[in-house]
Amino acid sequence: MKCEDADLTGFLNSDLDPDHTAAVAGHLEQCPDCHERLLLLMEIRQNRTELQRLKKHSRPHALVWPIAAAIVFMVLLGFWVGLRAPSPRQLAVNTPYPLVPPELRTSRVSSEFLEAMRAYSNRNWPLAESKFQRYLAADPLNYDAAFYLANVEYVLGKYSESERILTQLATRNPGDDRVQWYLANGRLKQGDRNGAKAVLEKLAGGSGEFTDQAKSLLRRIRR
Amino acid sequence: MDPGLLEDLWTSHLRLFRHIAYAILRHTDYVDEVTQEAFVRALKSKTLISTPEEALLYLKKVVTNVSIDHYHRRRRQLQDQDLQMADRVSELGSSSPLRQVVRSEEESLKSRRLQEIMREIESLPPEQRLVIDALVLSESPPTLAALSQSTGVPSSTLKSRLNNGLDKIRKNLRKKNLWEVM
Repeated sequence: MKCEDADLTGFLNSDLDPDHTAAVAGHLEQCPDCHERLLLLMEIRQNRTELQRLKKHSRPHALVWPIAAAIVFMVLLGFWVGLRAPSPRQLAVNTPYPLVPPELRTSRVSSEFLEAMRAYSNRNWPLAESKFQRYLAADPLNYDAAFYLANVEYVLGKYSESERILTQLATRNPGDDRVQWYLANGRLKQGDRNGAKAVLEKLAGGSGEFTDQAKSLLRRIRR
Repeated sequence: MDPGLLEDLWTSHLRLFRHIAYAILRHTDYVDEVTQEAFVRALKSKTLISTPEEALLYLKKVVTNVSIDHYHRRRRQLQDQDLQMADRVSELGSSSPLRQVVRSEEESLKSRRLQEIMREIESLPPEQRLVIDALVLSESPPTLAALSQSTGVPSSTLKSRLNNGLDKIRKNLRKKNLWEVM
């Protein structure tokens, strides 16, 4: 059986006769693409109500144009009364990257690393800094520890140290948008508008986690 | 359902039922558990069935639904394992900061994933979007044959539109690191 012959919705609904069911099941065992399509169908079905709600929200509302007009008016009014554009330092984000624990999902994590993560999650930045530094002294190539340490330095206002670590990480993995995003923001914090723009332009040209934020930040910097 | 008929059908079609469960779960470890659960559920059911054909159709449905339930349950269990791990990392207790961070991360990931799915569905070409609307999002989806008959579009075209639409959603979720399977 080829992919185009497999009736996945019929299989999920049990609409197929036994022979056809067995043929589709056999194909699903062999074809990873069709299996992923089936899982996606199952997820959409499972969250049908929530998706329908999102669909309604995404439809244009009757009040959209009046609200948009009001916003435009307020912005123009802001310029008219001479509101100054915020400085690059004010535009940069102030929050660190949330503690996504990929380590928890995939592999075992040492107790030293867990202690550093605990300090990070408790927002005890000086403790997190010392824990991550100590951890990296023993395992200097640990990518995640370096990334979180860079975030800690960022929150502590040590932007040049954060940039130094992030630059090293960016060399190791140029495709990590998280690294690029904090690199750009760190440069903004240091008043390096052009340096930040160069990184943000790359981010905005992609389609990653920070693409939309990079586009928005670029627009605000260019004003 | 007559227990004798159920047992006969079950024995003679066990291979098919296992095949269905494996196609959905892709884990041999769970196939026995799921087929066993489906058998018990069918045995306890009070659904009135008169012919062996209807009974077979019913059993297929039960196996499919139990497999799907098992898949979703297993995903939830894996998320709970993350939370338990977070408890070990942080202080024990449901209000530990790391547990809250992990839980809110799980919720935010799910919400972002659903938003991306919906955004992608909305941006599909109308012919692909309508197939997904009708066959997947609808409360009582028609069969492919019925949809083909009512729209005049061949079943093969509807299937390829569905597959192309799903592929775009998959590709987009992967690109945004939101694709995850058990």
